[in-house]
Amino acid sequence: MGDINDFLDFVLLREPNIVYVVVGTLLIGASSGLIGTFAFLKKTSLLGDAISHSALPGVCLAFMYMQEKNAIFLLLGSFVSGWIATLLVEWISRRTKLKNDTAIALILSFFFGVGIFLLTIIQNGGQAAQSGLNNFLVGKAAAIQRFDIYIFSGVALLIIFFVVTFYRPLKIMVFDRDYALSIGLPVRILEFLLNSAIVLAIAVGIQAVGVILMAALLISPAAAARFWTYKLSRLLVIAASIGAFSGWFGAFVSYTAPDMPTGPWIVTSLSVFAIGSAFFAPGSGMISRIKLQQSNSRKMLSENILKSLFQILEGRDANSHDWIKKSTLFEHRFFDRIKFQKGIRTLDKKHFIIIDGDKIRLTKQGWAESKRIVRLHRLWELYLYEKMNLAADHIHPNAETMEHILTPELEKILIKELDYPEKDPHQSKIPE
Amino acid sequence: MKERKVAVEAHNITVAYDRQPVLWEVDFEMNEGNIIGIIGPNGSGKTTLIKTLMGVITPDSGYVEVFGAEINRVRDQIAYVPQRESVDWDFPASVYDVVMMGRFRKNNLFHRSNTNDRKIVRESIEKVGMTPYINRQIGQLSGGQQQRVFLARSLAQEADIYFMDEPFVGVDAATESAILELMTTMKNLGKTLIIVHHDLQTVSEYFDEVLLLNTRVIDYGPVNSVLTDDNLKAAYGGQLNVLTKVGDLLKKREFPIREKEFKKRSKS
Amino acid sequence: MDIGIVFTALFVAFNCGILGVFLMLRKMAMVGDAISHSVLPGIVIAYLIAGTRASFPMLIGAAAMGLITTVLIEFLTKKARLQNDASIGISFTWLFAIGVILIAVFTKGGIDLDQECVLYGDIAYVNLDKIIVDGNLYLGPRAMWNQIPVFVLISVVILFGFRGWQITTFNPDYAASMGISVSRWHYLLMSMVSLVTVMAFEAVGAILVVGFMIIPPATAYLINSKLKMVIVLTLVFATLSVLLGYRLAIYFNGSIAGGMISVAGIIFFVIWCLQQMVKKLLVARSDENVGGWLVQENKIIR
Repeated sequence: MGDINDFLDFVLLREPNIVYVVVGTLLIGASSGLIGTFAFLKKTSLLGDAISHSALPGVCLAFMYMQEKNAIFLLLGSFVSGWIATLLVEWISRRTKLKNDTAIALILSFFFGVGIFLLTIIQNGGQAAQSGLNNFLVGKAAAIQRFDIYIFSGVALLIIFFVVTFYRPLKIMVFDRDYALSIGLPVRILEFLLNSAIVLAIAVGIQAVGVILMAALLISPAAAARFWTYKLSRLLVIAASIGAFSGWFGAFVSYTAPDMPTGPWIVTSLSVFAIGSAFFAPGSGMISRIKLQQSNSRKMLSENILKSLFQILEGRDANSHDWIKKSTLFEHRFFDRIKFQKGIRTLDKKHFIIIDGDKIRLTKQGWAESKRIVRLHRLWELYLYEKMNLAADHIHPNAETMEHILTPELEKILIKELDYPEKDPHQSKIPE
Repeated sequence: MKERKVAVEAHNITVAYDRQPVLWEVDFEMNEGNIIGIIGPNGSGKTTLIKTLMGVITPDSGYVEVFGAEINRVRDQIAYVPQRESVDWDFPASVYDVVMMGRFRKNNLFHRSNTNDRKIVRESIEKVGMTPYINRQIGQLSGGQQQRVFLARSLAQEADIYFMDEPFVGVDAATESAILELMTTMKNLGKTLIIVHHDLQTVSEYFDEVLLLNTRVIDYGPVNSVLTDDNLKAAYGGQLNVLTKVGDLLKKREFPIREKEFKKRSKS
Repeated sequence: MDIGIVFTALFVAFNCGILGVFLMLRKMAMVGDAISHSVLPGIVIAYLIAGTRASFPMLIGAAAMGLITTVLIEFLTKKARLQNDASIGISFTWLFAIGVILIAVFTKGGIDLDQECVLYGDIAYVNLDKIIVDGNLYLGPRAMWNQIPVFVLISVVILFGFRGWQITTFNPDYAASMGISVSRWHYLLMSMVSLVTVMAFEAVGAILVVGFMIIPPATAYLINSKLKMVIVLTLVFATLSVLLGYRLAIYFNGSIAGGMISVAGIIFFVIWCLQQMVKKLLVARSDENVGGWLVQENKIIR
């Protein structure tokens, strides 16, 4: 790794060369993230993997023809062979019995095989100028020349311009192709443009990431963004930002540690975003979903305690504030001892119960709350019995869960649909 | 008359995909020796139901018994005819190969077929009138012929209960009457046929009993008593408002279908 | 012609091709691709620990990595609810990236494992490690002898479990209705794919393994519709690719593995074109009774 000066040079953009690399990788990352979102939404992101592998023979042939690393020709070469690969995948999956995934894997490995073959021929041919071609495999942002940067930035800007200009028709087409056709959008032209933009983004992106890992620059930003929003405009902004940051990060590593290929670091950054989002994003992330499930089971437990208290009191025909022994509760219903302690602590905090040693009694709010739960339980039992034609001895287990989730709104609907009932199917009174 | 046994018993089955229930508290007993139709609109859970009955899908709550036993003990007594579209017909296999799959069992996968297997396979193919095509690749067959191959495969299983998923979809008239003829023959042999079907017009013609389904059981019994205007309105007039809302809530709030202790208890 | 190299490549191509037939029929071609990329960190780590190539711990470590990939993909799809293609894409790029970084970090420490080898193998070097008995009896390169037990293992598992592979591939729900554990067969296949990938890695590199897994089976499947014949034809096309590819590579002085995959792809396209031509010819004659072996598909009998 480089020293602290390299680090500062890079972050503070102290050299003009660094400015070019940073601007270039930021734009490459952003444009790939942007256009990749559409590939992601069309569920064709693995086609992107095939296209990027297929760029390699194009790059090699362009080099063999020009005998030098001319950025324009290399770009053209990868663009053309990327397009050919796209068409072949489409042809094969439409015209033969081979399925889409087989067609993708077939073209991917064939083109890459040819690419490797050509690359080794160039290398063994011993031209001095070939030294840079290897960088197309796993990427080397720091090797990008100033002239290249102009071109790549131009192309990246073109892609961004395309997405911004055609935002609305693209949105309609990606979400509902048939609808887009029905309102007379030029879907075929749009698809051609979108595919071209994807191939172009790949042709540029392989400079930084390399052909093997390029797919990640298309897929991962969109996949990460998906956990944060469902709105297309925000999805695009987030994906572009993640792509841009990761591109910058890869260039940074490449600058401070010249032996390091750029691609893997860009991909590592992207993957951390994607997998991190899968875990930590609020709402749809796994952690928050697990928390929600835990709070559900806590809610069920404490509500079950309240319900048992109500049922015991109901059986005794006693006053709602009578003390009840904990042991009586355990006789009434099975509770896990440890969880039970947690449950009554929660209820205590909410002022639903008052605890005195091994005795418990309901407060006024606790009584109302316990009535509500029993009411929901019995309403639901009645609903299963009357509207779903279930036998009276089969309705209890389901009601045990539903009592915890029915909202006041649903409760109103239930009462109305059941025509203001008084008794449940077991002839127990439904409490007010 | 001989007393009829219960062939299939579903006890409070609830099945959810992604926590959203597609079957709600399905509960019934089906007697053996009948041709039973499972009827309902698209997306009403018909396929999910028979897959659950066969133990292909494990329900989130409730349990199934076949001939009074847990399904794994009576696997050899059930046969399955899946939806025709559920497989890739380009698969490299001949009619004979596919029907031979009906002779596979969990514990004979490492064996070769014996003469008895081969005899049964040929007979089954004969019964559906596919003998002329026995070596044909399955992708070259018409829809009706493909359906017959699936029927022959289930016949080769020599089971007592047959679960069929939409066997009449996309078949020609000749295949349809062939299937009906087979159904009658099998019924006369005392077999039970449980058939997913969606065409209301032909229900009374095909079935002894129907189960009207729309995520919940609307009604089950003899055809005439089930196909009333009220029942049909209930089945085809959309799902119950309350059920839909509760289903959405369960999914949104990551709620379990059953509390853990009840899950345990229901498996006894 | 170097017999050692050719035979090593032949066994690699056979092992990949046999499993590839089932990957293709199960619509899991891209899962095979993913596994072939993501065994890389496993190989590097095992290599660092064991210090040599092709050792037993390397095998196990890397093969375990293949299984972890399938679990990771399933986890992302089912638990994190990400769409399947994205789950595959993220999993393998991430693991492969880690592998490349590990190599870059440890090449300075002088490990004998370079990027080129990882990417497209160095089958030309298999002859550096020959098995010679009694000082003069040459038995071929060690890499070839490593492939043979794997070939035997795969042949046995595929042949003896043929019914299981057939039924769980064609109609998994139906298999499940018989009480057959579909997932057990799935993981058995994934384990074998991981094993083969790791074994083939030295010879052809991480990415071209997929070529041997998919291209010959796809060519065979294109023209035949009996499962056993598809497997046999896969072996035929694999052999052709290896022999012609080796010639091509020697002639142009390019990567041997790259040459073989190129030839495999060319064979695919040649066969496909031939098939189209024969089909057109038949249509032109409108003679339905001439059933060429090339046009078994797409013909519906009344």
